[in-house]
Amino acid sequence: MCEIQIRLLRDSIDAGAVLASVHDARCGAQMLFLGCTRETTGDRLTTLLTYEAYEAMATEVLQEIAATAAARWPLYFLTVHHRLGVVAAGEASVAVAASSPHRAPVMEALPWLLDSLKSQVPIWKQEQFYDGSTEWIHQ
Amino acid sequence: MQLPILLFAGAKQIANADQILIDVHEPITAGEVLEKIADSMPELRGLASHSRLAVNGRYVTSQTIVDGNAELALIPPVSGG
Repeated sequence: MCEIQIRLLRDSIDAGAVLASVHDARCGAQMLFLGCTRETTGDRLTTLLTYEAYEAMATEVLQEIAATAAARWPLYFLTVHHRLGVVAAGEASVAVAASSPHRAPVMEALPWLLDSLKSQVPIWKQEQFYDGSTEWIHQ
Repeated sequence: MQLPILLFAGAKQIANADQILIDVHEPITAGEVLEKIADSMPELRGLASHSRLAVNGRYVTSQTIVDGNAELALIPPVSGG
């Protein structure tokens, strides 16, 4: 049985705490992925990003994605933290961690989970560029 | 009857509101709701044509009959992560 933790946060992601949340002496594989906001989009410089969510649905969809991953791979712990609100360029906007007795399941599950998050979870980012202009990303 | 539709991100910015009301006759499908949203606010048509409808926090197909008492939301292409 996999223990799943999903959080939408308005303050910084604590990467150490995310990794610690999947720690287990039975698990020889404990993996953390941090998605950080990029400073450049094409040739434009981004100063900050603002994340907005349909929060109740986002939490529910993330739970479903995590449960699907836990059914597909033998994961013991799975944690997803996603920032909302303003995130400065270079900071972590998403953290995903998983643990399992062996490495293959976590190394397969994390990319699948991130792809699912990016295509299904109702969270949106707005980029603010150096010239002060802003743009919601819908692609 | 009038159905409130929750708006987010670029759709909220275009409408300058976090929800809009659309006039519909039931029964109505999710696809027809999306069309009504575009009709009621033509500026939203481009984004609505790429959006999904969520009913009580779940994605539905365009053929799904929509319950007028449910919470409805326009979900433009997502960009989390």
